[in-house]
Amino acid sequence: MLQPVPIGAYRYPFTPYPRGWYFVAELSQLHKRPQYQTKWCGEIATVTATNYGRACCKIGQLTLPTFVLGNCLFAYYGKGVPFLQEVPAIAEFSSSEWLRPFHLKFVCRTHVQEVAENALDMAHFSRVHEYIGDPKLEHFSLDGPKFTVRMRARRRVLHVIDEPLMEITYFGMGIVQAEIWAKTVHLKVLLTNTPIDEQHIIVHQWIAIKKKHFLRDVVYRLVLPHIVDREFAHDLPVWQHKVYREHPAICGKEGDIMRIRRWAEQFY
Amino acid sequence: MAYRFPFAPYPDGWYQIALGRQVKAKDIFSVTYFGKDLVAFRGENGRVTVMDAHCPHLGAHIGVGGKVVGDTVRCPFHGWRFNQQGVCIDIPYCDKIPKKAKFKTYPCREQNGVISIFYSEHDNQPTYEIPAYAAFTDPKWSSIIHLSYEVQSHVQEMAENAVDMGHFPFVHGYKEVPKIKQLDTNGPALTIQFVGQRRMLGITNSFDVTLHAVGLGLVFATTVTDMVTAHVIHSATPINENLLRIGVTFVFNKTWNPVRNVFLRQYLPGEIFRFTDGDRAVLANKIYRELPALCSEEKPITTLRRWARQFYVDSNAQSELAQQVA
Repeated sequence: MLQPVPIGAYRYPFTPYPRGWYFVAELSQLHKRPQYQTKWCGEIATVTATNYGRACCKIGQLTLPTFVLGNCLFAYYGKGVPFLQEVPAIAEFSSSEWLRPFHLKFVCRTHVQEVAENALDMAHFSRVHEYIGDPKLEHFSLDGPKFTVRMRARRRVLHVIDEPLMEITYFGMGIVQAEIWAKTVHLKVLLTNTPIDEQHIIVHQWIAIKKKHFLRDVVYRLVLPHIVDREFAHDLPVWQHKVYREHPAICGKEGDIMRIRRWAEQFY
Repeated sequence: MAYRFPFAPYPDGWYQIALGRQVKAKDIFSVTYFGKDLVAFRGENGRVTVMDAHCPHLGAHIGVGGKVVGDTVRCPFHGWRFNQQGVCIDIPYCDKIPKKAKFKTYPCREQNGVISIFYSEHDNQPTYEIPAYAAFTDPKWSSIIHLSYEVQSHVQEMAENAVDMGHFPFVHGYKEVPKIKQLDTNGPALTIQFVGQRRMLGITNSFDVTLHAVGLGLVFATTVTDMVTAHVIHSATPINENLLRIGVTFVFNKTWNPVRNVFLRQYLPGEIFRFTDGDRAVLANKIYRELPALCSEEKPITTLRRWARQFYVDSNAQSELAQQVA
């Protein structure tokens, strides 16, 4: 059981709101409530449904640039011209060969950059999560506001040892797409990290499972949300209580963390 | 709340951060003092180590999921292990250990059932030790009783309060201003003995109190009344610039009468809490007068202020200066 974390001082040497595209609403929510307000990047964002199933997002009188990805509305936070955001649509989310994606969300006292750094922090997987040994990094590339990581990691899922291949792509700090190929399951994930206020972010995940066999699909649909929840439950206590070391004592194998930090500088 | 004092918030000295029994074997105990997160852990050798809470690697809090392994502590994030000097001795996935992989540790003593650390903003090392009192481990005395509370104040204010005889009748219910029998300073120690009278359980009791301050954070008191004799450790440890944690850790003399012993065990914590209650409101709301209008009977306050200056000195800078002059 996670204990409530007392709110302490702000822990980062950079703003809590790096510029970028952040999730604001699910369009399907707007069918039920055409206008609603949400805490977003330290402001109150008002999302209003417009014609043709679209929506607009405002902070006070300021209309924010937006784009739609599937069912999700994203808005741009930051001054100047928004950086180009070519996020591919996830066809699997509406494909008949895939189960409809399930949705998970949680709020955490951390910073969006911490979550991004975590993706390249290979050594934490076996200590914080239940991986067997450190994952093998097969690919890491930076491309403007985008970075991609591909890794193979041994782990036990439902008492079966598997070595899934995971490909994770960050589009800025707010949008993440992942694909996981395991022996028994193939997953497609959309994950969004959004700063709510100085201290907290909200993480949304939509996860689709490729259909294979009815019974197996039912089992995975029931079990997978718990596995994913558990995965993040391991990260949360660390994120909520850690400090950010600007000059960490890293060892030779951890240089990629510093590459991610340099990549992140473009958003400040 | 604005800072109210004309001196640094954390003078050098020994400060109580936990009771010995709170830091169990193989356990990590987390506290916040001096505006910092700290952890204390007890190695297999029984020795307690107190250090900063956040890993020098990527900043994880050791007290949240960390493990004691032998005489070392293991970070929950990447499994790095650190010894009781705070030095990293093992990275599970790397042979070369970075030089920076070291926690800041604090000189630590476990004495009289209490864990204390020497805290110095200037990284001065301790030049004095904490006295040991046999009563805290002697079965002829009661087991250790501890109570604590928070007050918005400064450690020097707490120390000044102890030698301020004039406030005892008005704040603590003494019948008249106690009489000082002895007042001495000796390096980092200050001793004051005073006698007075105060009602307790409806009976007027004579109090003979000897306070032995060791720095500004710890005061060892021996209180002899008609009813009971107690050894008390009064501790004042800054949580942050504006807030102190006051600890009262004490034992009292047991007699042949078990009813009296059980009664006092129940009664004394409440009595001490009532005794200190008046101070809390005054200390939280007062300001500090650098040049107060003192009367002639209040010399101990001036003596204490002169004595307290030594705890704000940057000894390293002083010795550098001495070398330059030489």
